[in-house]
Amino acid sequence: MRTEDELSGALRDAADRAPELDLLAGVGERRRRRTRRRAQLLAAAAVVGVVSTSTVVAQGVFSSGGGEEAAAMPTTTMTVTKPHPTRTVTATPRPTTQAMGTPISKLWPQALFQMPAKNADGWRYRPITGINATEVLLNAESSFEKAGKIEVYDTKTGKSRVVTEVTATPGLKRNFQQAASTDGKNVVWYSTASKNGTPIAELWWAPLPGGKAKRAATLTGGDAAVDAVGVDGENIVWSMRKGGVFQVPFTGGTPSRVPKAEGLHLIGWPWASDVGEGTNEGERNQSKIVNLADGTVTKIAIKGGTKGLRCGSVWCVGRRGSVPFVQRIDGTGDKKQGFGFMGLRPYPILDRFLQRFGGVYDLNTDKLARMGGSGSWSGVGTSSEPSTIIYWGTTKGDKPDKYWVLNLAAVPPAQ
Amino acid sequence: MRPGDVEFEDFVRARGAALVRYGYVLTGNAEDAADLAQEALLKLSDNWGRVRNKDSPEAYVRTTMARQHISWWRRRRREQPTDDVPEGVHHDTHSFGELWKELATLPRKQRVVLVLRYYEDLPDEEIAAILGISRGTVRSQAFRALATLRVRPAVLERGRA
Repeated sequence: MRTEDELSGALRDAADRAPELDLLAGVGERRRRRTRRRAQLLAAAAVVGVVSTSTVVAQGVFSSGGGEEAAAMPTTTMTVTKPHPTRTVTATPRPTTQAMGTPISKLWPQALFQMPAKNADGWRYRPITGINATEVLLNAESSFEKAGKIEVYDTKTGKSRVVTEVTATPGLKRNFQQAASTDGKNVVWYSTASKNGTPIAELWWAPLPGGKAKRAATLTGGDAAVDAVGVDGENIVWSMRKGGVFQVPFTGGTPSRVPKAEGLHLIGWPWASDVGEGTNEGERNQSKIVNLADGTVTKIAIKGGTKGLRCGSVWCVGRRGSVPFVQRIDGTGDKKQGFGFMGLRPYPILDRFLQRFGGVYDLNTDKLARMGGSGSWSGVGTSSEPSTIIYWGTTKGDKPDKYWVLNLAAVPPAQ
Repeated sequence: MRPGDVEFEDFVRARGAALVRYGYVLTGNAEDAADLAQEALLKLSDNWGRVRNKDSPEAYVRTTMARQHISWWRRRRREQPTDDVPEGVHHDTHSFGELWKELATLPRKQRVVLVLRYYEDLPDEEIAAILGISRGTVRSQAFRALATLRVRPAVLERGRA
């Protein structure tokens, strides 16, 4: 017999393996679909010239509970309606395009492409980030969250190649590959695991042209709480959840502190922030942006009432009250936004883009690109730094054969 | 832009991951978890003003998800494979993995009752209120589910001990 604790443990263990989903985009897409269905239904009603039954239709369409059902069954509704000769109902769907921006395919056609959702082994791809305008770094997972290989897909050739296999150190339990990063020459990542109940983090790297994955360091106990990883050409660089940036050469050896990085958190090499992502950090403002490569520290202009400010080397995003806004680090370019921003990391992507509800906002041009997802979800690349990749299925369901991929690294400057 | 949208988005950002986890435990697969969470959130956004002022948005969404899951399954009657448990590297999760797979064989209502009891840690009285069934039904559903899973109940009814 099993115990109730085992049942509870199995449920919690499974919950930890739940996927990361972009819920806001999904809810936005559902709302748009519903609006479209309602508009179509009303337009149909207008054509037939329904009046006698139009109140019934309108009730069905607009009440919050039954509307969905009614809208989903327009034929049933229409067959019972009788055309009325004298009056017509005209309905104009609420304009949504103005608020929602330009479709990505129009605004950034060069950054949008389709790619297979599975590798040669039939393993599902999980994009990490764009390496450049044409190459995408990918994980291929033999089963959910068990990364098997790291690959690169090239939009120029339409083909993928294997960079390396992700191997698990024997004797470790709950071993998961975590965030990865690349500088275009090597790919680095960390994995977390436990050994006899002690948390373990391992730092790995592989040459991007291809080669065996090598482990450069193993961190244990409190040191295993890694929150970001990066690469500077010769070293794997990472920051700790409690703050502080460390490095270890590819060749291994003892990890050392990166100078003048006490309390800092890596955004993406060489940039670091003085706020982390712990549960109590969300409201805090970032006060400086540090270039760890040359030691430059730039203070950020913070105006009264600002909360949750997060900045790259140029742009910041934050809130005043509940109103999101953007500004440059010197306080200029301050602009209120009518929508909130999202993403796995709160920092601007490539110091230029912010992902929002159903789209991407370009800070440099003040333009909004609308996602035209066909499915109920969209995903963000899993890289340690804010990923340049947003992707969704070309067909409905969470197991499509192909992905639509937006690679923000392929958007030309200030277009 | 509707009033409350920013607050709603903040709520989803803050609680979204927890809701997906809950949906995943309720349904056993990623697609239905996304479906369930998004539908419930859409409903929440329609009623945001009222819910925010009167109830807890999170409790509202979770209740919606639990009820929705039971009624969807009644309506759709389609079987979804449970996501595979990652194998190989997770030695210590082996027994958990077996239990997780067996959970997929339970009738939906029984599964929801177990999730509310053992994942949400709710007393039977509250589970009954959420699902709109009697406390006796909660107890009998849980009892049958535990028997199927070969789990020994520590107490017959939770919330009174």
